[in-house]
Amino acid sequence: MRLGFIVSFVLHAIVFAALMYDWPFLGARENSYARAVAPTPVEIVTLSELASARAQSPPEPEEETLEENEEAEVQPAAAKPPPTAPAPRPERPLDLGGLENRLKGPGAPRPNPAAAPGPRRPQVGDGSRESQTIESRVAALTQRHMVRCWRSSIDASDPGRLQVVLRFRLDPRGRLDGTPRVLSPRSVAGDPELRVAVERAIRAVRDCSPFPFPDDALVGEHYDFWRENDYRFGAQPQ
Amino acid sequence: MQAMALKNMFDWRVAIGAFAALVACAAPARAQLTIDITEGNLDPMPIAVHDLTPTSPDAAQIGRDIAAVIRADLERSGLFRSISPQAFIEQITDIYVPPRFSDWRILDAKALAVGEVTLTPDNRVRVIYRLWDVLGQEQVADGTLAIAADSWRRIAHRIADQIYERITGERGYFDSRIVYVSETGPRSRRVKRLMMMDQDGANPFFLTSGDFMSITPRFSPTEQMITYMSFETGRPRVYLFNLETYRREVLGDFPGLSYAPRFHPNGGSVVLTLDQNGNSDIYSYNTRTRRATRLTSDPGIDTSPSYSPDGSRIVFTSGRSGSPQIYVMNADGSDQRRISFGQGRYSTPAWSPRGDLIAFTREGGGGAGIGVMRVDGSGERMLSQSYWDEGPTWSPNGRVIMFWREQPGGSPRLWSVDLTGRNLRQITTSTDASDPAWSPLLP
Repeated sequence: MRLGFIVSFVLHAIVFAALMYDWPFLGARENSYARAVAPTPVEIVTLSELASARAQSPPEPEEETLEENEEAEVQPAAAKPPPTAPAPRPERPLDLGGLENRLKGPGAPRPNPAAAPGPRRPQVGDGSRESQTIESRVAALTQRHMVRCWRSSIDASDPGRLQVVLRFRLDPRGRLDGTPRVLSPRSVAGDPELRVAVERAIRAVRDCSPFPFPDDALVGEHYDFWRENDYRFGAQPQ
Repeated sequence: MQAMALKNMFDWRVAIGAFAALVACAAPARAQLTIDITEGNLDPMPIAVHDLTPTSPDAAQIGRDIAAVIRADLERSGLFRSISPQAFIEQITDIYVPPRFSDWRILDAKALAVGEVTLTPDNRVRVIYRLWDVLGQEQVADGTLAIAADSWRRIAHRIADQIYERITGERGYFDSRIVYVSETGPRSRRVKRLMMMDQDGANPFFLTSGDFMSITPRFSPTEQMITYMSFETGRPRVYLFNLETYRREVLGDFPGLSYAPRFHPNGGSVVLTLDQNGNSDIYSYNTRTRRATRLTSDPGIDTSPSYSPDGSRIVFTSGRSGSPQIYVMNADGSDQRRISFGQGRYSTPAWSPRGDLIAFTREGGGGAGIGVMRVDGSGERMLSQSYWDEGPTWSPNGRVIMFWREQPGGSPRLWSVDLTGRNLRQITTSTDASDPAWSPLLP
C-alpha cells in the first residue's frame, strides 16, 4: 500500500516536471512556425493533390547515431554532488549506474573505473577563470565557423528586428544531433522576412555541421560546454 | 518471511532506481551558453532550376525557355547563383516524385525548382512548378500559372518572383517593365523617343513617335500609366499616357515650362516643376480636380520632386544654397530641410519604395555616380561611379536601382546596381538609352 503510494507520487512528479519544462515551447514549435512554412498560396490554381509530396518521399539515410558510451566517457567525473547527509540506514547504497546498465541489456557498457572522482573540472557557468576561457573559445569558434554558412539579413530594410534564437545539440564528434529548436521568435506568421531569417539560421546550422569543437585543443575535451547551447543569430545594424 | 521482506525491499529499490534512471535519461538537458552570431555572409544562394518537364513533345522548347528566363532573373538579382544544368546529376522526368536530395546536395544546391509545362488546345501555356528546400528535404512552394502562349515570359518572371519571395522574404520585381528614352541619330540631330521593355530588356517597343522629343518618363505606381515631358506641340508640356487605352493628354495648361513630373503614390496627383519668369518651383497637380498647388517659392531652382511611399513627404533638388543639394519637405510644402552635405552637387533624388532610403546622383571629382542615403541624410554611400552616371529609379521592391551611364564620347546605356553596390550590370537595349523609370509589379 505504502509502496503503491510512493510509486504513484513519483510518477506524477515526473509527468508534472516534464510538462513544466516543455510548456513554453509547445506553441512556437507546433503552431506558429509549422503554419508559417506551409506552401504559399498559388495565384491561379491550387495544388491540393501535391500536398502529400513529403509523405511520399523515401527516407534519406540517417546520420550515424551517437554511441551511448561515447557520451558517457565525456561526462565530467566531478559533476556528481557530494553526499549531503549520511545514509539513513547502514545498507549498501543503490548502484544506479549498474542498474541503468542492467536496464539497457546485457550488451551495455560497464561503468568505467577511470571515471571515478578526480581533479575538479571547470563547469559551465561556474564563473571560474578556466570556464570563462572555454566559454569564450566556444563562442569564438562558433562565430568563425558560422560565417561561411549563415546568410546574414544585414541587407534587410530593418535587420535589427530579425533576431533568431536556436537551441541545438551536437554529438561528441561535433555533428548536429536532432533538429534545431526555434526559441525565438515565437511566431513568424504574416512576416515573410522573419520567417526567412529563421530558415536561414536553421539552414546555417545544418550546413555548418560538423562543428570544429572536437578538434580544438582547448575545448575539445569539454563536451559539456558545447553539447547543447542557445545560438542568437542577428546582424548588427549598420 | 525474511526472504519475502528482502524481496519486497529489493523491488522497492529497483522501482525507485528505475524511475531515477528514467528521469536522468528523459529529462532534456538545459542549454548552457547563449552564443551571439552576428557575422554572416551575403553570398548568393546556389539554386538549381531544372528545365520544365513537357507533357508533350511540342512543349519541350518552351519548357527550356521558361527555365532559362527564371535562371537569368534569379542570377541577375545577385542574391542567387544558378547552378549550370550541365552539372545536374538527376534528370527530373516526373515532378510528382520527390527528387533525390543527395544528388542535389553534392552540387551544393540549397534549393531546387522543378516544373511541368503543358500547351493547351486553346494556345495557352500552363505551368506547374514546385520549389524544394534541399537541406530540409521538403517542398516550400508550389503554384500553377497559365497565360497565352506568346506571353510565356511573364509566367517565367512570375515564377521567378515567387521563388525570390519565398527564399528572401522580400517581394520580387521580375514581372515588371521599364520605360526609358531611346536615343538614335547623330548628336546634332538626336532623336529621343519613349520606349518600353520588360525589366530584363526583352519585348522592347516604341511608345512615342520620333518626330518630336519626349523625355523624363515616370510610371504611375497604381496603374498602367506614365507621365512624361514632350515637345509634341512645339512647347514643352507634361503629358499623361494611359498604356491600356493608348490615350494621351496634356497635364494642365501652364504658362512657361513644365517638366520633371512624378506621380503621387496613390496615383491621384502629379508633382512637377513649373518654370515661370526664370524661376523654377515645385507644384502638385491633382489629376481629378485639375488644380495646381504651389509647394515651393524659393528664388533658386527647385526641381526633381519625388514622393515618399506614404505620400506624406517630398524629396527634391534645390539650388537655394548656391549649388544643387537635396532637400525634404512635407507634402504640403512645409518644413523644408536640406539633407545632403557631402562633397559635390546632388540631383535627381528618388525615394525608395521601402521608404528607408533616397537614391541620388552626385557629381564631383571629374565624374558622377549613383548613391543612397537615409531619409535624414545620414549613411550616405555611393553604389556606382563613372564618367557620368545619372537618373536612379528603384525596382518595385527597393532592392535594385537602374540608371543610365555615359562614357566620354560614348553613347548612354542603362545599368543596374543593387544596394550592396557589388551587383553592377548593363541592361541590353537595342538603341542608346537614358532616363529609365521602373514600373510597379504588373497586375
